[in-house]
Formats: sequence, C-alpha cells, structure tokens
Amino acid sequence: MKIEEIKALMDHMAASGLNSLVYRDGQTTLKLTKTAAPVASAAKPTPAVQQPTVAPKKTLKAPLVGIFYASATPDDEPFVKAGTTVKVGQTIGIIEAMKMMHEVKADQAGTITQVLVGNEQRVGFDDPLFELD
Amino acid sequence: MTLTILNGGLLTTVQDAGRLTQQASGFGVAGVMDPWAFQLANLLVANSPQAAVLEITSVGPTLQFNQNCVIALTGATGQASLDGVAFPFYRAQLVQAGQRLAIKQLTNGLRSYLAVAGGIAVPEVMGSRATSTRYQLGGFHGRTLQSGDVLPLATDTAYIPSYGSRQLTAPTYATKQITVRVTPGPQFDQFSTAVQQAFVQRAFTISDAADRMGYRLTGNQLKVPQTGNLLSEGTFFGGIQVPQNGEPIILLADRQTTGGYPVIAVVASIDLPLLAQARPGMTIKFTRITIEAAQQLLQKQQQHLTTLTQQVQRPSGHDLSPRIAASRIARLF
Repeated sequence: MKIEEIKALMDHMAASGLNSLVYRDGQTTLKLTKTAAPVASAAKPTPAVQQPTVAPKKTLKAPLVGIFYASATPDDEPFVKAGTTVKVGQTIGIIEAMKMMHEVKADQAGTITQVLVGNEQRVGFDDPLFELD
Repeated sequence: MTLTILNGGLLTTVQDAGRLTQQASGFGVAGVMDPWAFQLANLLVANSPQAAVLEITSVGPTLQFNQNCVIALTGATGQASLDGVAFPFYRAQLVQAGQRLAIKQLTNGLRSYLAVAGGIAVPEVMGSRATSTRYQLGGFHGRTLQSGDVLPLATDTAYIPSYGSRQLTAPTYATKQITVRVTPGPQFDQFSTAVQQAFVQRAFTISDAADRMGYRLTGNQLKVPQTGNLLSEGTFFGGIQVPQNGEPIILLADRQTTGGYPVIAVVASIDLPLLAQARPGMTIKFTRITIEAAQQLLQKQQQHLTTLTQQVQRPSGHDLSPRIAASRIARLF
C-alpha cells in the first residue's frame, strides 16, 4: 500500500467523522483510530467560531423613507457606482418622499464596493444603499 | 419669545385648523393633516384648540428654544432627544432657554405635531396661521421651515396649569394596512353597482403620488360613469374623487378648492388621522358607513376628548409654580 493511499484514507476519515477504520488486503492490515481531541474538532466544523470575527461592513444608509433614484434624470449616469470613491457630503443618490426629491449625501468616505439598491426601488429608514470598503 | 430652526427636517410647516373661510375666493384650506393629534398636542400644553403648531413629516427638525417654554409632541412617534437625552412623546415638558430638541426618524406613523404653550405666533393671513406651500401663503413666509428660521412664540411664560398630569398614551399606528370608514359621496349613485361593490371589497395601495394635497391610490381601476362633464364643485377633506384613468385620489389638507371629477365616497372625519399617518406602499381598504354613524363616531370622539381634557387638568404633585416672578427672584439667591 502506498503512502499516498494511506494519506488519502486519513483525509477521508477526518472528513467523515468516523472514529476507527480497518483496511485489509492480501498481505496488509491497516488500522486507523482517531484520538478524542481531533474527533471533537473534526465533528464540529468551525463556523460558529468564525462568525464573530467577520467585521461589520461599512454601508451608506437611507436617511428617508421613499423611492431611491441612482441618477438625477433617467438619461444621466448614476451619481456613484461600484468603484467610485466618495467623500463625506457627496451626493450618492436621490430619494423621493412626499413627491419631493431629496439628495442623499454620503455620511462617510470610502470606495463603493457594492450597490445594494436598485434604481426606483422603495427604501426604508436605514436601509443599506451602498457598501464601502 | 422665539425658537430657532437649526435643521428643517424633511417637511416641517406651521399649521393650524386651516384657512376655512376664503375657499370661495379660491384659497385652499391647508391646515393640519391629522386633526386629532393636533388637538391633543394643544391640549397637552393647555393651548386653545386652534393654536398654531409645527407639523413634522417623517424626519423631524432640530430646533433651539430661546426662552423657557412648555412643549409637547403628539402624532407619529420615533426618535427625539433634548440636548442628547431621550425626549418623551405625548407629554408636556418644560424646556429651558438654549436647549436643543432634535427630532429624528418617525417610525410609528408619519406626522408629528409640536405644540408650544401659547402657540406659534406667525402672523395670521385671512384668519389662519396655516402654511399653504402651494400658494406660498401663511405660516412662516408661506414655506417649509429651514435652518436659520426664527419663529415667534405667543408668550414668554413657561407655565401651564396641572403640568404633572399632562400626559397621554401614544397610539400605535398601522404599518401595512388601514381600513378607512367612508360615507357615500355626492356622485356615489352615478357609479355602477359593480364599481360601488368593488370599491369596498378590493384593496388599494397608497401610491408614491401622495403628499399633503392628496393620495393617489393604485391597484384597482374604477370604471368612471360617462355622464358627461360634471360642473365643478367645492372639494372637502377626505373626498375620494375618481378621475378618468379610474385611479381614485383622496383629497387632503392642501387640496384645491374645486374639482370636477365624480366623488365616489368621503372619508369619515374620525378616520382622517389614519390617512395622515399612513405611508406610500401601504394597503388601504374602505368600509361603508352611514352619515349618521359617521356623525355619532365624531360625537363619541368629542366626548372622549372631554374625558381626556379632565384627565390632564387634574392637579398633581409635580405642577409648575404659577408664581413666575417669585420663582425668578428665588433663583437669584
């Protein structure tokens, strides 16, 4: 039996959660047994531990309830898109509320990594509009 | 005798019960959108029921009081703070000269009313202090309030009787659907029976074409009777007209004075506050009641107001001293 085959068996076993494994062919008998500690860590993959380490993403949020417009007029380019670097106070969109158009200004600076809201979509208080790096 | 606007918020105007007497000359009524919350605000600060207040919409203003005064917030509730400390709604509060009230997002309901004891003393125009932004008339220079505006107050006395009792329970407003009671409108009989039934059976949506003038409803198109052109008639608060495209419009505070579309129904006055506090996107259903029932509901509400008035007028252990001069002198020592 080749060493690679034994390594592959060990990997499979670690992934499977099996505690012991016996392999026999003509002249070889191989017995693999897991000790307690690795079983625990293998049986419990670690998402629960990883979750708190994910930093909350910076977002620019909707200050108003209304309809979001990405550009000043339908024919214009959007105020900002993914990759745009925004400064505090820069107009990032328009929200229509009470039939009035209100410019939405960035309250933090950064580079937009993701647009989270569609043009002419209804938004509520503090709904995330853009993700910043 | 003033307060200063530091940030106007989304849409803040001076309003009162409206300019009722000049409609024949073409001047719209304007006035508050939620008459009930308006009455309660004035009640809490011991004002006359007609005293002018600030109507605040969705995102409130930040303002600074330049004198001691007693104020109260009613209608929609949400985030408010006085010099950074949470500020209660539905309760009379003494504020000191120099303090800043920041009203932020209104999450329960849409429109709040800020009453100041004595009232907002902008000049009366044709018998009312209401702002009509459409005519740029009344209120504070006929417009919404902006940073830097200084509003005159009627009194510099920070005293109201039974201060400690002046609090009420805040309502919880619907967030998804409202059911509004209506009485048949002047042209109700001109609509087909099928349309009359559809009107009360189907649900409508408050569209984004919704402001102080009116709310356009979508979701169902009502077939309009083809009875030739109507003569224009006077409009009224809560009248539901159906233009040719079949999408009903509820006429509200800033409505025009006359209209020529058939009016299928009229919102019972008791339910006008439900509309004032509803947001675009919400569902609205109508239920038909008789004019007598609508009048009885309004009478019952007036009786309830009398009860509330007695409740907030009880003396309490936390009242303000009426001896204002004496208390000022006392502070000197």
